[in-house]
Amino acid sequence: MDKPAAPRHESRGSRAAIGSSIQIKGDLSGEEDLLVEGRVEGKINLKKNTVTIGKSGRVKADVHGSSIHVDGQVRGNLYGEKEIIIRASGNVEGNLVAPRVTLENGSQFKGSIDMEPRKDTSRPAATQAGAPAAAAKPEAKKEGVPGGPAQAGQAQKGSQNESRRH
Amino acid sequence: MIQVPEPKSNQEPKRFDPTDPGTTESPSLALKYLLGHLDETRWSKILDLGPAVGANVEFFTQYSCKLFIADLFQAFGPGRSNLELAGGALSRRLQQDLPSRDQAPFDIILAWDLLNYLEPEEMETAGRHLAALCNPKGLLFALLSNHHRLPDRPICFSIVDIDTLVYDNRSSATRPSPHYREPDLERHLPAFVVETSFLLRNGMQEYVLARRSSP
Repeated sequence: MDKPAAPRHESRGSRAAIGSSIQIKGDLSGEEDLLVEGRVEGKINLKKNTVTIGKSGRVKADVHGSSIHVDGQVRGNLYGEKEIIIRASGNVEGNLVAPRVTLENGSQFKGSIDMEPRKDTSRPAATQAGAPAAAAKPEAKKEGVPGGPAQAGQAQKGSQNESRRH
Repeated sequence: MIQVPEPKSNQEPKRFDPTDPGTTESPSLALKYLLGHLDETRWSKILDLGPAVGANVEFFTQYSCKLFIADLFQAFGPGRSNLELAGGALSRRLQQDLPSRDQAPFDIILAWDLLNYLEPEEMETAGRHLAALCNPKGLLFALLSNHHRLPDRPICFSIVDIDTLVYDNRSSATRPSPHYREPDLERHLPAFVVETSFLLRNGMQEYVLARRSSP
């Protein structure tokens, strides 16, 4: 499918779907959102639209989209104009390029992520203490330290400092 | 009727045991040290040998960097056969899972606690591959355990903030700890030198190793 016919519905929110029994080899492009539940090999080019790789979707292609959501499997590079979200069931091997990348817990990913610093968060100086606002904080039990709260490491090997340099 | 007062609860907080399944929040001193060495004037490259963790990706969005996730931990989990990784098999596996040299050099390599799960000769093989990918001024971060036993697969670490990590042990099975120490690191990772280390109250020791300059 090199060049799909013009979409019937020009309205926002229309979405094309590739069903789970469909296999496509070739390039996909168009101007509506796309849900892939089948197999695609080639290239998906929908830079202005949302591309969703469903749970049964198997994509071996570079994917260009506005937002890209992955619930299934992708082997290829993902380019999101706005964001890329790899959900818990998602499995991606490739490189991710987007202003915002989210990996949900349980998702599997191998590859590189180009990080663009957020415009809405100031970068913390690495030498300053303090928690960056953007870091997610999972539920966890605090490390128990008898005799005092868990705050910092201890000096080692006879040094009174917190670290030892060579 | 005499009422016996309830004994006051005076239990000490439970000590960290790396073999306890679940998550535990712990301070980190090395992370701040590592990130303090990133050159803010240029795009940095970070190689994470662990699995993809959303919190870590989120954390690194604050830095101008390219993060490469190698997810090597799967290869060193339970049930792996030493024979499977013996000889050239480990090298082939590393070549497959690690980024290629054209994606290098990396300024920071996050090995987390992976070294605890390598035999000495495996550490030497891995060290050669990592050295080839490391910037001459690059740093390698590793955690070694002073505990007697370890979970039977590497712990998954999440960065909460620059001073804090969450240790996520997803296994209830355990294995003996190799008890590697600094001399072991320097013996089996000859391309690196220990730049600094931090002994944590939880019995883990954070090491920052620097790529040794070529003679």
